[in-house]
Amino acid sequence: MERVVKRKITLTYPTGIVLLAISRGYRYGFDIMDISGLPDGTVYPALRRLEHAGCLSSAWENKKAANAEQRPPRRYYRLTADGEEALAAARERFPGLDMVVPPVQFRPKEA
Amino acid sequence: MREDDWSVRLARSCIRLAELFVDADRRSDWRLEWESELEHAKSQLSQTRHNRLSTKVRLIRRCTCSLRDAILVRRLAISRRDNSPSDIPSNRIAVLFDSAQDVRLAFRSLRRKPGFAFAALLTIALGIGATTAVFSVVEAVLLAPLPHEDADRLVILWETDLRHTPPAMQVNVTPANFADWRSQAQSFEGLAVYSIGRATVTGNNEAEMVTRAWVTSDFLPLLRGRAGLGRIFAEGEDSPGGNPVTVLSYGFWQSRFGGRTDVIGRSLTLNGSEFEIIGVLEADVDFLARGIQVWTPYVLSQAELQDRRRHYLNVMARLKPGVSHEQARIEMETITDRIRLEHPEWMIQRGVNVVSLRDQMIGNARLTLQVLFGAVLAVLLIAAVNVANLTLVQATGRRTELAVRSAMGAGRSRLLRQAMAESLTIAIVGGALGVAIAAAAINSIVVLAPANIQRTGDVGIDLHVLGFSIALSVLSGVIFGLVPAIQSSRVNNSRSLSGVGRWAGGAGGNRTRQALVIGELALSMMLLIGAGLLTQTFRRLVSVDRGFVSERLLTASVRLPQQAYPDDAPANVLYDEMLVRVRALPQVSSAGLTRFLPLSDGPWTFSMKVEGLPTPPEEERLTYAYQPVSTDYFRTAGIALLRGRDFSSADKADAVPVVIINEAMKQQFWADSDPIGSRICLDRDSDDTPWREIVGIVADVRHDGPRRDARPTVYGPHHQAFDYLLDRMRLVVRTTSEPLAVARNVSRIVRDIDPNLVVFDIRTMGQLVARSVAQQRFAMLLVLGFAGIAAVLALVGIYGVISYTVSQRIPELGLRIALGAQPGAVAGSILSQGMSLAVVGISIGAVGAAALSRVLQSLLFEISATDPLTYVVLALGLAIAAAGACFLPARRAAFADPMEVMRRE
Repeated sequence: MERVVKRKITLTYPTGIVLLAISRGYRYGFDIMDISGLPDGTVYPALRRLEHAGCLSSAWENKKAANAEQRPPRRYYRLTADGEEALAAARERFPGLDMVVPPVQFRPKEA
Repeated sequence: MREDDWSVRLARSCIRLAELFVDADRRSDWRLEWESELEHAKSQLSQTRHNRLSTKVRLIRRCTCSLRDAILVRRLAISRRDNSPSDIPSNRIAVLFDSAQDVRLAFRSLRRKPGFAFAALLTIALGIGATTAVFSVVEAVLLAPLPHEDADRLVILWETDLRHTPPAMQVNVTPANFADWRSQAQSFEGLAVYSIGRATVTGNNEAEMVTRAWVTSDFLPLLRGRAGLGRIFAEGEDSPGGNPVTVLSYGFWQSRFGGRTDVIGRSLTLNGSEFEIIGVLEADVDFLARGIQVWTPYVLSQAELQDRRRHYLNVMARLKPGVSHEQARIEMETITDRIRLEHPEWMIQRGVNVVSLRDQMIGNARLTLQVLFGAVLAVLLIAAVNVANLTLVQATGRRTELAVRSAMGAGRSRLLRQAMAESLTIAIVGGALGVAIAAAAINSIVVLAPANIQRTGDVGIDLHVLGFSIALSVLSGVIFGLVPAIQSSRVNNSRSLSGVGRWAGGAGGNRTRQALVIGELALSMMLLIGAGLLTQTFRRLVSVDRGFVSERLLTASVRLPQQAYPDDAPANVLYDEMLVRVRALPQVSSAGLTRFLPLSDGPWTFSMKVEGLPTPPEEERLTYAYQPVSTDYFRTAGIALLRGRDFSSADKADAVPVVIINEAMKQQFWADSDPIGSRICLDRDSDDTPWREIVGIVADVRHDGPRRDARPTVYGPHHQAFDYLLDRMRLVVRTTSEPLAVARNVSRIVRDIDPNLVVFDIRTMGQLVARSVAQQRFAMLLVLGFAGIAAVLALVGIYGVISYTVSQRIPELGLRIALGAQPGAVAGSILSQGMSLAVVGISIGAVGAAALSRVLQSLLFEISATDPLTYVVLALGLAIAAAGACFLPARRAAFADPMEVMRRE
């Protein structure tokens, strides 16, 4: 019934959307909330589980860029190979997933 | 973006709180991640121009997710440490997370049913809030013990005037009757006299107005008031010629003397006389909740104790152990009968009354509080019925869901726990809201409470009551939440899943629910009628013609110490001087003096004789109220002069004695003739009191409040008044601007004339009027509030039942529509079903209100408790509201989509 990827990640619909959003270039928690229309409370748990399962890796953004804008650096997420695999599985399981998240260029311009 | 935006600060505190859950070694990383998200959101927020509030709310909501994230991060860290393949932790805190999951599930499932969640929360919050608030007030005022040792044995003794019927009017006790009672009554440990008033303390510091009690020496022992320092009055210290001594209250000792122990033996200047301080009472000694600061002996001479004519003593007594209230009353009546035999001329139409101290303090507020009590009980009942109804309705609708969970392998205990989590979530959130409502409601009740409901200072949220209300709502939630869960854990899952069991709500259950809704509507109809009647009463009380004009009228009291003003001559000089100076103030258009102010203190009554008429026998004494006033009093107070002339400055002590009477007195003696020029004598039993000529007639003033008709009243110039009435006068000042702005100047003038005088009781006439209707306002506002709550709850109830019926009948209705039924007709049938419930409920409520009308009648003014207009208007209003509540489900029924129904089946 549920596809199990390596470290046992339950591939739910919200998880699929989070994977998709990251692949489309939304790399921060709040951005994913903004774009995906998922309930706020589901995004971070999905990120944590995906990272825990090895589907995502996270890194801190360039400190210089942040300092220039006088704000703390943000942690951004990207798909690992396992993540790509999981996204493919999600696409297979939830046809139409691609329609949910627009590509990143439609994002409102950041300050 | 401003750094101090509330939403950002709230969001940040949320993150700070959540980080406590994260493992210490990951904490700074975790915090940085969330704070950078917040920072980013903040910069976005600063660019948003529209919808700022909703954006902020979203930001806060997001940051509350950090709590959940923190818990998850901790869990994942644990599972990594344990190297467990599953992301379900296997250690002890698993139970905690299971419970957290229950609660999360509960929140989620409630969010899916916002209507149900809102209705249930509203019901529980209003029910708990209103009940707790009113029970707390009633508990503090009616039920809590008085702050005296064995307070239930304390009673107040009154004489009664049986001519006022019913009920007989309480009057003060004559000294001679008091002496007889004290020597003959066996029921009491003792009888004591008290009087509470105001006094001016002068001395080192500035003059200060204090509350003073005069008590006979046995009073404090009867009250069980003990001295914390020094001593209380000794026997005999209340006899004439005794040393002037005083005992201070603990609070006054602290405020005036800073709690110094060397005050004993020092002197205190009270109204210009020196009193030796002999003691300080223990902290909580007070009487009638008056805040007494200074206690002095009540001196009764032997000669005075022979007086059976003047009624002016207040008598307190303590019942002996084992003597009941009733026994004491019977004994007192026997003694009064005996006195009547010996002194028939003084005891005509006189009786006696024994009133418990508690009843004395609650006064006529008891009925108001009882009405409130009834109102709140009705609300609680409605709320409980609503919770039961709502939970049952929605639980029945969830049987399929529970069956699915059960089929998926959820154990019975898991199902039960989840059901409980939902009920508890509602109960706890509703309870928390209820506490907030209760706290706010208690505050407004205390603020609104009229002065004659005493002890409101003691009111706080009663924890027992609160606990009880919350326990009740939790219990009802748990029971009604568990019943369906237990059922579903037993039912045949395949039946429920296949839909066979889905419509098994049953007609029987429906009938019960309908009966409950009818009951709710009936109760709220009764409350609405009560509220409607009280509202109209209040409107009439406020708009009644009082006989004076209260706008821009300042009132203030001045009391003259006896030493400095031993008789009327110096007093009148002072009063004249005061008037001249006050009238000269800017913003003052006129000023006058009166001894008794309407709505404040009653004029003293005397009996009189009219020239040319025979002196009437004792039982037909012509009593009248006597009022010394100054020139210009009538014009200042706005009392109309109907005939004749006002007093002038020529009406001095040595001029021809003159009086002005009111309309009520004219009607009594000169209904068909002109009283101007007639003469009356103000003392029936004296031959050397001069005859006074009537020179004018003024309009009636409702001196004792709007409910009482004006008494026959005689006004005399203060220069010609009985001098014992002149120790205190009320100044009335008509101003051209805000009256209280003038008060400071008035006080200054009085201090300039005599630095030892204090102006006190400074109020506007508007404040006095408001105070006179305060109890009505109190009852009206509270009953109105409860009626509103009850109506809302009842409407929620009828909405719940009708929409449940609709959701049950959707397949049938959809089928009908598919077969060609008009949507309008379908909606109409649903509406009429709801309205038939409403009509039955409203009718029962109207009948119930009429049956209870007797209870309410004494709270009403110039309106019948069965006023047809009120009944009709409110019945129509409630019916329309009920139609509105049924309209939504009816509309849903009309749009039942046949295809949707087919698919569901």
